Amino acid sequence: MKTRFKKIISSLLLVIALNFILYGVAKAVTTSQNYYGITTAHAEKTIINGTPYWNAKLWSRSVSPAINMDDIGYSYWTVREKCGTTITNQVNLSGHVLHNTSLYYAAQTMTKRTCSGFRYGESLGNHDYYEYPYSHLYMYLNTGNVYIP
Amino acid sequence: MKKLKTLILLIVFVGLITSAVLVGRSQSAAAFGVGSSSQSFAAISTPSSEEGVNQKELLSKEIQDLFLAKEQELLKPGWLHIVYRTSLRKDVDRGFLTDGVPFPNEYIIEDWYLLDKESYVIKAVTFMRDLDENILQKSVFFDGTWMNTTLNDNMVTGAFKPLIDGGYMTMVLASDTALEKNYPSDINSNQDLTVYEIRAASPDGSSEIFATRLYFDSSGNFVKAVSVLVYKDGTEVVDSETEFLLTENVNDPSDAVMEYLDEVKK
Repeated sequence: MKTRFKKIISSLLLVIALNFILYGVAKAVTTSQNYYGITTAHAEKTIINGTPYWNAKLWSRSVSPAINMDDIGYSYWTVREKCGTTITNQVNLSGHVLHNTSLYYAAQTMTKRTCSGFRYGESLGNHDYYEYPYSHLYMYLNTGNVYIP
Repeated sequence: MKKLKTLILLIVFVGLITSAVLVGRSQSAAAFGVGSSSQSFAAISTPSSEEGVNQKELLSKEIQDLFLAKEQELLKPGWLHIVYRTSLRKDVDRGFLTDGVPFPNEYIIEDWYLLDKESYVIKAVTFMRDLDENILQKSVFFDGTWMNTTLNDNMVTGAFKPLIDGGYMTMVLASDTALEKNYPSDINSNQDLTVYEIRAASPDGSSEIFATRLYFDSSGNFVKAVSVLVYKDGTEVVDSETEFLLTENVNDPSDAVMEYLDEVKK
């Protein structure tokens, strides 16, 4: 009986996983760091494949416990497209933060460039956290090269 | 056992919600393809959803046939040489490519692929130049690895055949895009051009539609690709424009390629 349930669960998980893969959640990367013992700074970047565009998304969060921070966001963010190793498009987003909140979210949509080889997307930059009287915490996070056919 | 049943119910619930969201997303994307032509283009038809599917199949086949004809002509042993000029939207901060060198809003890419009998790439070179012909990036491919010698970036990709369609056929065939065929009256050219437009709804639910237009001349040559954002009021912003300057298959590469291959000892 247990084996049957396990099979059902595995099948359902596979269906859900395939849904996400087929609809293009290409890659998500996260990292966390303790912020002066008052909260955990959590950073996440994703690249989602679409047509004829792709998306880079960025989250900065305060968690465990979530606190409304004086500044939360990013200090710089670069989103780029490559054909093989040649960079064919790049957007540079200068720093942006929100005040008195525990969550920051931003998204950048890129239309796809011509590429007769392998097309990749990359999202990189520093997440920014600040709560008085402590110092700014800058956390670097890079998705690496994500295949976006 | 009770916990297990609860878990199954939870997974089924999540699965249903996920499917509902995804199905909803794909339907809304498809809906943008129906009868929403832009100001400067005259769509040849405004089909219903069902007709739209059939039309998309027909148009996809047309585009595929155009690219297949080019593949047969160009994918053969020798050096496949592709040159194109790209202009990017100018009101965007592009940052720097390397220290002190801004990422260009306009550039020319020159791709060289040495093909074997089965059209797989043996070695390849890509140059990116600015409009004054200064080389901004140099990349070389061999043994299944791309190496950008300007930026010191390596990437293992494995063997591949070059895409004559520039990667646009994947967009044409994607299930969540709509396809239209247009005949623009004047696109800075006296040639008779045919334009296939790939359209998709904005991923963030805002009012824009993302459209990529593929231009073919009367001989079936792929001459231009333009990416535009189309707003609800019909206004358009060109995000990028790529003009194909040369596509050929030759016996020998340029001196610059030979020198570069010597330099990297490949």
